[in-house]
Amino acid sequence: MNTKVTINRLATGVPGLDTVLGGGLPEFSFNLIAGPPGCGKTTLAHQMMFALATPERPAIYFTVLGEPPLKMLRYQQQFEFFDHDAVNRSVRFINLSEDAMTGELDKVLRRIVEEVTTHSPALVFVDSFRSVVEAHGVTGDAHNRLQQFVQQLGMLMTSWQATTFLIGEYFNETDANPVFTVADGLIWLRQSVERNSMVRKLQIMKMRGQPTQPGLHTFRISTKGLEVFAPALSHTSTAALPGAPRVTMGVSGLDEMMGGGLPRGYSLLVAGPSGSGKSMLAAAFLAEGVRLGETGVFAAFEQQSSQARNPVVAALIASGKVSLIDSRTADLSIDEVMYRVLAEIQRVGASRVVLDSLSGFELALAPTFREDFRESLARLVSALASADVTVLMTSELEDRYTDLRFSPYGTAFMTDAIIVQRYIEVESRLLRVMAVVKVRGSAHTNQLREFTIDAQGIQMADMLTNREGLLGGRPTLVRRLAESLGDPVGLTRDGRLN
Amino acid sequence: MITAWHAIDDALTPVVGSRGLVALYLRALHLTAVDPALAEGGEPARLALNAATTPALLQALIARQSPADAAATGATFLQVFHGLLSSLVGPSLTERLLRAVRTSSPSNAPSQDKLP
Repeated sequence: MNTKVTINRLATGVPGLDTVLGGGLPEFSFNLIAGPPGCGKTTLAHQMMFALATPERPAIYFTVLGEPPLKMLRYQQQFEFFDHDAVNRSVRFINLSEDAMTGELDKVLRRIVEEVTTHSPALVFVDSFRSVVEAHGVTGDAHNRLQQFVQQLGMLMTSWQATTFLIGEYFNETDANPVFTVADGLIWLRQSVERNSMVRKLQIMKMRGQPTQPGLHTFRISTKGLEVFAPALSHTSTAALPGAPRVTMGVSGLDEMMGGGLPRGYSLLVAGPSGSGKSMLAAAFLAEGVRLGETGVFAAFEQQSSQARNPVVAALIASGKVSLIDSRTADLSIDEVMYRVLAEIQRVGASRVVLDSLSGFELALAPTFREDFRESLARLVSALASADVTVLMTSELEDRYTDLRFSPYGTAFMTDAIIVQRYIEVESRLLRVMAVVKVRGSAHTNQLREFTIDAQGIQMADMLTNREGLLGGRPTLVRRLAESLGDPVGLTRDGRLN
Repeated sequence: MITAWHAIDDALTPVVGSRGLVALYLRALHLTAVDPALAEGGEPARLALNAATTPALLQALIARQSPADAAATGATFLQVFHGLLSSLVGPSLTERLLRAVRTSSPSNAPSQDKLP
């Protein structure tokens, strides 16, 4: 017979938080919510309280010192989770400022116990517990007194079978370590400011008995409250295999060049200079999916208005077959992008995803994440691979005729397939050429093919077999051909090969 | 009216604290636009002001007026107080917080007085 205690996990009602906590919040746990002013502690506490409290499982929210209760209520009710009907039914606000002002911690503790005994709450919040001690100039052994207070409170609340949250202002993690040791859980909120962007981050520094997700997790506060962007879990076992069924690209001739299309679940990088046709290829890829009855997600990171968007993509979005994620703000985190893209994939059941473009994506990330861009991109590619979608990413690439590069980030190795587009100059015209550089685990052509763009989209043409040096940008007639024309190589009228 | 104030005190002091309630009380008195000297009860009364003394102060304020004026002042004061709280935390939460006041207070049924 199993005699171990079963610890229930409570759903916090904060999107993403339960995942970060490792499966919800342990019942009867004693938790601290800490962080500097304005980081969202009180909002987090309210959001959890309104989500968790029921008439059978009521909550008491003790306000001590600091934010006046009237102001707190005034502002918190702006959030959608604030339920007026729950007040005085499943949620009770109690002010302890009179008791706290006496400076006697025992008195505060007694009062809390009295109220808890009277109302039998299953959830107890104390906002803010630190002010209990500090507002009265307790010096010297402040840490000890605070620790004693917290310890006694923790003991009482756990015995009373109440899940408890103490909210307190702390500016750094080592500020009051003794207090932190008492708690079962420690949720740390912070704000990272760099240049003009501010990113909110949350860390579960401790949660007894829970496989929490380590590290800093970004979150956003909107009228809905907090939304935590838990890192997407990638499962390498679901990574696409070369033998997977092929996905057609929607450009006649391109599938043959790729050895029969792009293996399903692959990530494809389309690199090329501005205007070369990357977005056209992406549009064709999505349109082909829609033609076959699939749905897609188009994640736009370009700084352009919706009017300037590719008309094919705009029509697909308007038809509802392709879902748009428009991200132009400069304060995104990679986790937020992943969260939004994956949520949208799930919502519409997408099988094709376009990220247009990686260059815009980098700009949309908050400056604090840009240093980790390569790592972020690798995680994004991995997460999308786990989502069983075929991904096309565009990458703006300056044409350099001295070397052959596929991505400005050194990230080409992360993708399963690469198509490169370039401009070449022929007879005073800029022509476009395209090559399939890589399709992992699959045969593909090594041809460098000319292509044109017309009203119908991309039209593949033939190889320019009579020219060489295409990647140098200024191709020449092949030597054999030039000699047969009686035109010594390198001696044309304009001083170059034609 | 004093009964109503006691009910308000019971409903709000736990939530906003004694000082919070006194602050609301003073603001409501000010907005009721009664004679300031009358309203504040003089300096000594103000100094001794806390949640426990406000009913007495309110009682004294009313006692100084004719019965008709006292009833009107009382009704206006409660109305103003209600409006003040609504402006701060919204009508919905005000209703919620003062629900007990409305159901328990006999002075909140003035319509009966007006009916023939």
